[in-house]
Amino acid sequence: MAEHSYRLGVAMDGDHVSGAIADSDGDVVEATTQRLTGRPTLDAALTAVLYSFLSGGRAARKIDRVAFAISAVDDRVAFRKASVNNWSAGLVPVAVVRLGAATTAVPPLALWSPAFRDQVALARTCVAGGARLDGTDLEPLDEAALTDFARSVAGRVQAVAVTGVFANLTPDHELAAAAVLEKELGSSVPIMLSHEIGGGGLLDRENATVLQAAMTAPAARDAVHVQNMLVEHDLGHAEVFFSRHDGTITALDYAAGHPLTLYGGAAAATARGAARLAGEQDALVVLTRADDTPPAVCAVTAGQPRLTAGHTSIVGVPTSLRVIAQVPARPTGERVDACAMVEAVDRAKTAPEDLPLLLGGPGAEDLAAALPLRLSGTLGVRCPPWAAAAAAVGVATAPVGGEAERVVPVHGEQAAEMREAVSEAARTAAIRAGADPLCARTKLIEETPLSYLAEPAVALRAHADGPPRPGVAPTAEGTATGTHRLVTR
Amino acid sequence: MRFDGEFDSANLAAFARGCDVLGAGGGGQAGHGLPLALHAVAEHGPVRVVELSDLPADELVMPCAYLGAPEVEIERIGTGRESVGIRRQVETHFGRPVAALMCTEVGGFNGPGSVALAAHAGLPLLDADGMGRAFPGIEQVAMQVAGIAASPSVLSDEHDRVVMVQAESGEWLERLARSVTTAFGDRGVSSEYVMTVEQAAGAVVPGTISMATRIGRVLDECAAAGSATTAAVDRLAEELGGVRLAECRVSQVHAVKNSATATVTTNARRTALLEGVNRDEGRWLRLEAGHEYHAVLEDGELRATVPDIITLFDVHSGEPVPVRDLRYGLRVVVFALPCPPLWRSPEALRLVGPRAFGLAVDYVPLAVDRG
Repeated sequence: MAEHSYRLGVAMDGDHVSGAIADSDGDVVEATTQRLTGRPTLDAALTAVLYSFLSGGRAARKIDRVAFAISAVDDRVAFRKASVNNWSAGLVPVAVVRLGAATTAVPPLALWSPAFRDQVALARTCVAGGARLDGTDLEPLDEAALTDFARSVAGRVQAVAVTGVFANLTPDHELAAAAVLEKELGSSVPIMLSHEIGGGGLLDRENATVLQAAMTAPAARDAVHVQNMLVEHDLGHAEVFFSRHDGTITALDYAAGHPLTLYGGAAAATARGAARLAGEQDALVVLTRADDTPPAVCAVTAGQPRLTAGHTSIVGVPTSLRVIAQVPARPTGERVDACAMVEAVDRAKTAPEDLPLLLGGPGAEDLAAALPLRLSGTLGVRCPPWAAAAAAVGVATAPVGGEAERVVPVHGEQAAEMREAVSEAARTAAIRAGADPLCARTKLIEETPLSYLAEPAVALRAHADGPPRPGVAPTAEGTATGTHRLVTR
Repeated sequence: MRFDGEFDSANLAAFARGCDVLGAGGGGQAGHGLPLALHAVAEHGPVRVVELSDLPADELVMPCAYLGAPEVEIERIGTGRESVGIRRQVETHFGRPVAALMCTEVGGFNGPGSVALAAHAGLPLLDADGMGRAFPGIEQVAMQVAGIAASPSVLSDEHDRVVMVQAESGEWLERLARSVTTAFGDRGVSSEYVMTVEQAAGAVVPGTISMATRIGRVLDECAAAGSATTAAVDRLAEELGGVRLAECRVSQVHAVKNSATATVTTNARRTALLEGVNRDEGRWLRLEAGHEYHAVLEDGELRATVPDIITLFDVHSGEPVPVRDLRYGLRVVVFALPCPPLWRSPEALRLVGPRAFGLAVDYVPLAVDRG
């Protein structure tokens, strides 16, 4: 069964649609780019891509994984196309819980604009809990206070955001709090935990978690819509994935519960796809966009786009989300010239060595025609075949990722144990996000020494990934399970 | 120049920006302290900024600072009430009232951090600090040079735990205070060098709170006018008597070397090579840094040395670049500002000159063209 299965990548940026087919090893077999003539909808995009691929005799049932990279997700997450006043339209009231009583120097959402805060937050509380840097309790978790709070919002609240002090390193209290809250509120109220978004900085991680909780209802509706659409295209058996902020992908069920992490996913998929098409592990990628956004350069190292340190502002709120680090090439007058590109390249580089400059995204060929083949600071400008379909290629070939972080004392005895634990936590995160459990592995453990500490310590950050889990391909038309149409609530 | 009154939600952001400039690449980011200050003034009202002449001579000035690791501070943001417990302990110990809180370190996080601590303690903030910039050591303050006793050190965590450490020497004070900080979990607030208003005259760096605000306002004005970063830095140089050393591209950064055995002051060192761009093309600067920027060399000569304030601005964002964010490819404008005069005496330079940070060179006062 597996030897004949395919992964389908579909990307949409405005009316630019691209598709890519990869075999089960992740090698690209075919790609296509098209302009939609009618209203650019996801359904129209899938129809166009499938028409192109299936007319060659390939059967839809051979496709067991479908992955999407959609630029409009950013607008949806950031509500860019709507005014902030329209936020309330699709959003659900959130109960905001912080674990850490002694953190009232800035209470939850205290620095949001009052109008926006009132739209999003139904109730806010700080209860005892959280961890210290070394993993011990900051305060013992106050389960009684959590129960009282849950009862006070039960029946009114539709999502909960829980953020614990140092939960990015020690998530135990967040997990315990979720169990208490679920007992009171039932399993139909989504509970967002900050350690799943990660990143240091209590306020930014809390903001990200709250925004994510607020958008769970529209995201769940979107997910049902996507699943139904696939059923209509005879792809109900396939596992569905979406591109994420860091260039990995995540399964639809996880994506629906973690919509904020899709922000920036289309750009990240483009960077990854261009490197993949050129067969380069280390490169600089010029991302072109369908709209008039100037092209931007992103460094790719070991196949991964470089990420920002965080501080991504979404709807004017600072969050801990890390997105790919893009350096825009400032156009001089009407168009981007070689000079602007040289400067952007130089700023995007992470080391002095010259790297190939690859192009990817809608209009990549046009930009390539406007640039010289040799550009200072690069090993040459290349527009790989199917460059305009880079996002579809990126999302069709990307792994599902997972990360975990822990801090270990340099002189501690349990260093090996901690490495094992952080590695396993990252692998578990990848599997939860939709990686094939049989193949998910921890690939890298980064070590960062922490400064100004009395006892020297290092932060360990483990990165795991694995191929997306396959769907169950039907042996004959219509006999497989999982093809039932989902019903929108 | 007198500061115009008080801190509120309208002027704190500019102040924080100025604190980052005075941080000389260290001190933690003022942007992380800003939320603490903003909420504190929203909760307790504006913080009055006062001068020594506004205060009774026999009452106390209480220097305060957050201490510990920035990674811990941005998670364990605390209550701000840490200063309440410290104030109570200080007043009990000295038997007289505290008239004002003073920022120990205006550079970086502690600038806005001290506004938050003053607001929660219900105290005005003195228009002065202990450094006029950022330094990593407890003893690297003007009060030490003036002979004020560091002891006792009063430390507090966010659970209202308060510890008072009394010791006969700076070495023992730092040793004991450090073990308290470790017990707190590498995060807390502390006060040392408590003094009377009378003693404080001549023992602190005056006017630095208003100076940080002035720097921030100049930068805000330049940003509003759409000025390039080089032009903004030129204006700073003109208004404050500093020097724009060069516009550069960071072309090499050597990995940080951490030494676990050394003191905090000397336990980190990194070197960067900066290549001149635009009208500085053809020039090469070598930058030595520890927790802050320490020296700039060009053509075998020292162009700027600690304690003079060396700050790098990101050309594209206009923001000061912390040492830890220094990386290949950044476009920066290198700016240097003369340190407060008190740091230029031989005994002060033993405390904060290049040799105190492990550099085998002597201090060379910044050459400012006052034409």
